Parts: sequence; C-alpha cells; structure tokens
Amino acid sequence: MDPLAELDQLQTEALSAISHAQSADQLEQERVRWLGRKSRIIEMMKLIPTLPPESRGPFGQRANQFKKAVEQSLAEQKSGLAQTPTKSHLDVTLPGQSFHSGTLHPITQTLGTILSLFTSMGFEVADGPEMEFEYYNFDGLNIPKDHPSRESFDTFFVDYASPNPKQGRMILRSHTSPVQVRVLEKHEPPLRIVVPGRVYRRDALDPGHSFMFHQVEGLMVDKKTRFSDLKGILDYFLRQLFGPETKTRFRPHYFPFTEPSAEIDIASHLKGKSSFAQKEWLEIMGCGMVHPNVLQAAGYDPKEYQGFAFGMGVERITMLRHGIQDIRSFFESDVRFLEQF
Amino acid sequence: MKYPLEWLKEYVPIKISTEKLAERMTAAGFEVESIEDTPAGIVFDVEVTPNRADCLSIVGMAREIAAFTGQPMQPKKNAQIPKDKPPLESLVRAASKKDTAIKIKLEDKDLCPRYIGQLFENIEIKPSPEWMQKRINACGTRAINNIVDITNYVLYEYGQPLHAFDYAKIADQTIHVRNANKNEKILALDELSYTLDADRLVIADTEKTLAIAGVMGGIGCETTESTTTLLLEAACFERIQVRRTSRALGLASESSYRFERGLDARGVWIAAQRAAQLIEELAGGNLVAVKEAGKKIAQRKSLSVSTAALNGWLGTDLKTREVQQALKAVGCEAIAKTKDILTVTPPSYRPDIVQAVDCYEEVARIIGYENIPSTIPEVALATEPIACDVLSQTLEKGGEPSPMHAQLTSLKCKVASLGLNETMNWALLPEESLTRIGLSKGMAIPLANPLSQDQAYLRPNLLIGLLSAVRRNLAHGAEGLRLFEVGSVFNKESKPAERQTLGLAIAGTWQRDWLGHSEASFIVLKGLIENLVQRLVKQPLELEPRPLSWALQGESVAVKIAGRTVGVLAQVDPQVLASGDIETPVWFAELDVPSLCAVNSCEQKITAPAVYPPVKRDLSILIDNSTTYADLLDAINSVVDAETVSVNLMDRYAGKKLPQGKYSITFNLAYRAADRTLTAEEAETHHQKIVSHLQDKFGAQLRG
Repeated sequence: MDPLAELDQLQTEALSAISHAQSADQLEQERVRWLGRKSRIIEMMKLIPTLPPESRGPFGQRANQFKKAVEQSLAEQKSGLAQTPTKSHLDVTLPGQSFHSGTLHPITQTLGTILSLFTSMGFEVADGPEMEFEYYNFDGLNIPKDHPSRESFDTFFVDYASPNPKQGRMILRSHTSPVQVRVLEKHEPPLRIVVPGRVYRRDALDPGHSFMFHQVEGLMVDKKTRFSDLKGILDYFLRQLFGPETKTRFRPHYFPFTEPSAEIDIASHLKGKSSFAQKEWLEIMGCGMVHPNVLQAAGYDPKEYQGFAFGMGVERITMLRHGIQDIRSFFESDVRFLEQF
Repeated sequence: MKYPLEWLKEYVPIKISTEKLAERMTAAGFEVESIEDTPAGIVFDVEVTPNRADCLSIVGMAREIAAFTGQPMQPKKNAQIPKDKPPLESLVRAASKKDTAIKIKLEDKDLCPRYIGQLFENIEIKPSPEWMQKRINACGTRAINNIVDITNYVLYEYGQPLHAFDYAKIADQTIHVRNANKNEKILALDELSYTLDADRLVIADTEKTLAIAGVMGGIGCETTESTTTLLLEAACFERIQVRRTSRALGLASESSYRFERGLDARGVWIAAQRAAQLIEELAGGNLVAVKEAGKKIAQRKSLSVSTAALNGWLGTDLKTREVQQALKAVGCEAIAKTKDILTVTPPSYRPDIVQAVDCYEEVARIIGYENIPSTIPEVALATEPIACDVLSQTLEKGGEPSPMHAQLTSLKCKVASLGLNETMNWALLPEESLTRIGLSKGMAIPLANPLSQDQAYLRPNLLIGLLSAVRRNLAHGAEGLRLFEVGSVFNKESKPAERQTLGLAIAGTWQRDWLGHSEASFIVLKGLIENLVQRLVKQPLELEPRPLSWALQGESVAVKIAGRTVGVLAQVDPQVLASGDIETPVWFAELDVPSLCAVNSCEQKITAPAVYPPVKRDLSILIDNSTTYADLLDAINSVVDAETVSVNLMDRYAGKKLPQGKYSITFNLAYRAADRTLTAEEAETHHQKIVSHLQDKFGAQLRG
C-alpha cells in the first residue's frame, strides 16, 4: 500500500479508537498503541531510509501530522474524560470484610452496670479473696459457730492450712459480705463501698442453682444513715436497673448481720421472660441495717456509727434482664451464647 | 412449716380472706410459699427464718397473726392454752404413786435446763381420731398410734418436742440424761445404728441407751401395742448441743430442727400439760406421777428502748406511744419510763430479742416496712479513698497488690477489643483433669467437703477450663475459637495461694472470609500478647524457652517483662488435646494480672511523634536456618541504633526453591534523624553498614 494512504487509514482508525476510550487507563493504552515504541508509525518511520529520496520529505511531513493529530486527539479525549465523572464497577452488594469483635461476658456487663450506678452515687469499689477465713465469712458477721443460719450458707471448706488459725479454717466464701468486715477493719467510717465478687455454695447444679455464682455487696456506714435511706437508695437503684416503672417491695427477713433485715421484691413486669419470673413478685436482693455486733467486732462503738448493707445475685439479675432460662449457660462458654452480648 | 388454717383459727379469729392473710404474713416476714387445699382444709406452707423458732408452731404463728391483724388471741374451748407452770400437786390427780416412781438424773443442767417426766397408767394404744391424723398428715407426719400422734400433735401445736417411752422397758425407773460413752451405739427409730462420741448427750436408763437427746428416740423402749404404762418426756435441750449432734450424725428430725433454733424453756410445762390433757382424753391414761429436774430459768432481762434512737435508726417519726403499742402487740412488756424511753421485757418465747435494735425491727415489722419512708441520704460528696493494696488484702503477703476493679475491667475491654470472647469457666475441677495435663495433684488445693468428685479441686490454672470450652465449641461445629478468661487460680505452692490470672486460648481458624484466610498459631497468640503488653505495661516482651507438662516441645516459652516471669505461652501438646477429644491445635497463654496492671498509666511519659521524614530501604537476604530473627535484629541494632533505624519484617520464605538449609528474609528499613531530614547519602551509609555486618556475621547473601 502507498505509505501515505496507509497513514490516512491509520489516522482514521487511531482517532476513532481514541474517541472511544472511556478512562485514563484506556487512553494510555491507546497512546501506547498508536505512538508507543512498538506502534505502526514508529515502524513506518524506521522505513524512511528505504523510500525513494523524493518521497522521503512528504512522508516525513505526513508522519508528523499524524503524530500531532493523534496527540491532539488524546489530549482532547483526556480533557473530555476529566469532565465526565469516573465510574467504578464494584459490586457493592458483596459482603464486607469480616471483623471478629470480641465480647465481654454477660456477668461482666451486668456487674459493670450495677457498679456504675453505685459509683455515680459516691460508692467505691472494693474486693477481697475468694478463698477466705471462716472468721470473715461468719463470726465477724455475727454468725457464731453452730448457728443454724450457717446452714443457709452451705459452705465449701478448703483443704489448705490456715495461715492464721485464729481466724479459723479456710473456706470458699459463700457470700461477698466478708469484704464488709475486712474494709471496716482497715477504714474508719464514713464508708460507702460496693463489692463485686465470685462466691461458692454447696448447691447441686440445675437450671436455677449453681455452686459458683457472683454477688454484689454494698455497705454504707456513717453516723446517721437510716433504714429509710436504704429504702431510698435501693429504690433508685432498682428503678435505674429495671426501668422507671419498677415497683419494689421491702419485706421483713432474717440475716444475722443486719437488724432490721429485709428482702426486696420487684413487681414482675418481666413476668414470663425468665423461668423464675412467673410469680407476681420477684425476690431480687437482701438488705438491712448493719447489726451493732458486726460494727463492734470490727472495733467500732455501735452507738456512734450506723448504716446499711445489701447484697444481690448478679446471675439472677442478668437472667431477668435478658430472659435467660438456665444459670449454667453462664459457665458453659458456648460462643453462640456469648456472642449475643 | 405447714399450717392448716382451721388449726390456726382455733387460737386466733381470722376475719380476712386466705389470700389477704397470705399477703399479710409475707409482709410480716413469714413468706407464704404455697397455699394448698388438703383433707385438713387450707394449708399454708411458710418459710420460717431461723431466728423465729417460736413460730414453728400453730400457737406461735397464731400469736403473730394476732399481732399484725390486731386481733386478740382467743383459744377455742378444746384448745385452752395451759398455764406457764402449775403447782405439781394439782397435776397429779390420781396420786396413787409417789414421785419416787420416776427418778431423773441430770449430769449437766446447762445442756438440759429442764426435764419433765410424766407417768401415765392404763394407757390403751389405738389409732388416734381422724381429725388428729388429718392435721399431723397435713403438717407432714404420718399417723402411727394415739400416743405417738399426740406427741407429734403437740410438737406442731406448741413447737415443743416430746418423747414417749414404754415405762415397763425402763430399768430401775430411772432416766439418766448424760454424755454418751465413747463409741456408745444406738439403734434409732429410723432403724439405723449410730455410733456416738463422748460429747453427745443421751437419754438412758441404768442399762441401755434410750434416745439421742433432742434428736431421735431409740428402738426398744418406744410405745407399742402392748404398752400400758407410759413415761412422757418433755424437755429442753441446749441448742448448740443438739445442733452439733444432728450435724455430726447427719440425722435431722422435727425435734432437732426446733431445738437447734432455740426453744423457750418455759414452754416445756405448757406442752407437757397439753399432752397430758390429750392422753387422758384419747388414750384413757391417768397421770400418776410427775417429776421435774433442771435449773432455775432466769427471768428475761429488760431492755431500754429510746424512741428517738429508734426513729434515728429507721428514719421514721413515731411517737413513744406507737412504739409501745407495737412492742406490746408482739408480746413484750413495755413500760414508759420517760417521754422517750421504754423499759421493754420480751416474752420468754422470743429469745431472739436481746438488743434495742431487735425491738426496732419488731416495731418496723408491725407498722409495716411499706410505711417507712424512702429517703435519699445527705452525705459528703466523697469518702476517704480506699487504696487498692489495703482492699485486696490477699491471704498472705506476696507479689504485686491486686488490681482495682476498674483496672480489671479495662484489661478485659482491651482483650475483647482484640477480638476475643470473654468466658467464665467452672473454678472447681475433677482430679483427672489435673493429671490429664500432667500436673501433680499435690500442687492443687482440694476441697475438704466436695459436693461431687467432679468438683473436688480448686482450679490451679485457666487452661483446663478453657480447653473444655474449646472442646464443647468444636463439638458444636465452631471452626475457630478465640477465648479468654480473667479469674482467680489457686496454687498450694505460690504465695499468695490465690492469684488473679488472664488466660487466652486460640484454636483452628483465626480469620476466614471471601477475601482470605488465616489459621491460629503461636505467632498469632504472641501478637495478641505483644499488643496487650505494649498497651498495658509499655515494656518489651521477652520470651525464654520453658518446658511445660502440657505443652508441645519447642513451642513453649515463659513470658517475661523487665526480667520477671509473668506468664507462659505455648502450643498445647496434641497428645494432651487428644486425651480431651480435641483434634484441632490449640495455643494457650496465661499471664499474671497484677503484673499487667502494676503500671500506673498516669506515670507514663509519652514521646513526641517524629517530625522529619524517614528514608526507606528494602533489604532482602538469604540466610542459614540457624540464624533467628532476634539474631538479625540484634546485629542490625549493634551497628545502627534503634532510634536511627526502625526495622519492619516484610517477608520470610523458606521452601524448595531456595538452597538447602537457608531461608530468605526481607526487611523494610526506615532511617531517620530526630533533628533534621536525613540525606539519601547518610541513609545509604547506614544501610551499607548493616548489609556488610550481616554478610560478615551470618554469611548473608543479598537477593534481587
């Protein structure tokens, strides 16, 4: 073919192809195709020396025209593209990358809620050991040896030499109340503390009982705290925890370490949510005015100080809040359970 | 205890509905657990708290109902309450026998403050009347014969245990209340034989043991069809004595249940007379002799109760007159001494009222807890801060102080933020779970009274619990697990024996979605720990090989911070896993929580971020397998310090394409100066220093 005619055809093809380029990438591909090292124009220009001398000049001019036209076309197409927005063809319906977020145990979460309600009222968080001296679990709390109420704390004894035999044998604490005594021994009132912790009782496992569970204990002692204050603070706490509509009922009970003692029931608007939420009233916690003997055992004049103590089961509260049927599910570590929290 | 309504009504008029009564009883501290319709009519099942032994009886509960309904006690004709203590003579109507017919020998009057023996003749043993059978059935005891049923009837009616002996079977007509001889044996009425210690109290004649005092009678002296002469025991045994005996023998009865809660020594006479009345009526017996032994029962001491102190305790605004009324309603004598002070004498059946606060509770109960206001205390904004080291008084001194609760929560949040699920696993374990991971059971702390062998030991680590959790989840079809737990572990040999510990366990697939896939590994778990330690302690992690009984050899290290061992990190030995039915590899780490929380974040100083840009160079070398990453890092930092060069590992490859015994490793090295922009030439000088050092020291060959 006549080289000039070929150039004409080449230019038509090039300009057409460039005008169809839809992206900067495609444009670059077109540039390489028509002007790059391996393009037809470069090949043809390499052939110039083989042309008859009289044809060399016109061919060279025509080749330069070709290059200019293609470059101009590329530039025009580029600026044209810059004005039309770029488009991605991602399938946005694909699932996002999966991230494994960890979870906190429901007991940890309920504990956090309970503690923050009390710390917002100026209570401090205290703790103590799970393996405890008999003294702190019982005697210091006005539960002498051979007292029938020891039965309601069916306690595990531990086969471990007591580092301080004066304080009795070693046990697994059956409630968090020992920390009351420990704190009173070290700190003079005024005191406002809450004590989260794990406790143990010799209970056979079933949906409602476990030999291991968690409690939160509270203690407020100063010179004038009264039973009515106990009612006020726990009313507030329970309405915060279970909702503003929550009705509470204080009912006389017996604990050796408080006098008067009470159990608190909440009216069950949660009825049916949990296996034990079938009754009209649900027992939710125990409380009372600290018995003077407890203050005396810790070295205080019970005429000078007074205050209240309370305790609640964290599993029970969590079960009510989340409609959990079986206490064992807290300790079976099924991630299908844990990942719902 | 179960209370038939009709029986209560024999003592107190009840004018409110059954439901209302149940509600009032609950509000007064006697929680009604159920109301049943039985052949004896409506029966209340009530939880009686251990301080109220007086209410473990129909009469006691009737007294309470009278107090909170404001009704007087009104016994019906057939249920007149006998007098506290009548003259002996008036009791013995047919005084055909002198009181020498019974001898009572009390060894220790403190252990048995009162013992009354009543002798009846002409007894006719037969079934008791139907009304009596129905009532004791409703209370939970089956009918046997008229005499036994009468003792049970009076037990329920007055709360006073009684025991009937066949007088003909008592040697020498003498009752001994004495300590048991060591290894003294008795076949009790439950047909089991009990061996007694010397500190148990028994009822005996001169030849044989008749009963375990306050707990149960023996076989051989009980009433039978042929009994005609009867000795009825009405006694009061000291409560601790009875409780210890009952606990030691594992033998509880209606009788021991009441004695160990403390009975009214004055009530013994009342019950004795009531029983005599019923025996005469229903068994045709004549009371022919009565004998009493024991000590003088002390008068109740009076208490001084101040209305102002009571109001200050309860937060009420009661008048002295109202306090007095409430106390009288529960049977106390309450005399106004001044405008404010009452002199209160509790009734003998209320041994639980000993201090003024006990009276406050009675007043609160009678006016109703619902009538005490709800107040919000006015107090100082904050109390004295409670330092964590004082609070967490561990059993024995040793180690770091326990962390504050807030620190524990923060630790848990950090671990969860790395994608791990918090678990709580059983803290009591079976022995075989210890031996399975190769621990000697000598280091674990056993329970002295386990409920079952499955819960015989306190956990010495978190591994066992987390492995069970892994196994259960794999069984549910989980592909990968990432679990942690924060909790106490107990170890005989460590000080203190109880330590707060963090356990981490990962297994199987770490990450899998359509973009990619990675498996749990030592390196993954190490990365988690590095991240935690970096965020919590801000100190570099050191690892040191440490063989462990449960770990795969060569992939088992101690974790150290600042030279101190704070935990371990290892792959769990596949053989250990196989013995626990786990086929997926598991990596486990355990770290001491106090060591992780020991750094006070307020004291952490920060470094300002670098201002001048780094010059980056890649370095790819081929090196002998014996050279570790740490060797290379040390070598790099020995020629260019860590402030000037930061080393990032980009790639590590070992495979068939490489010469035998060698692997390739690629670093990205960033060179930087703190005070100016480093020139390319300066960076190149550092880079060459590193290259030639690695070549000299390890024979590294440059690649690519």
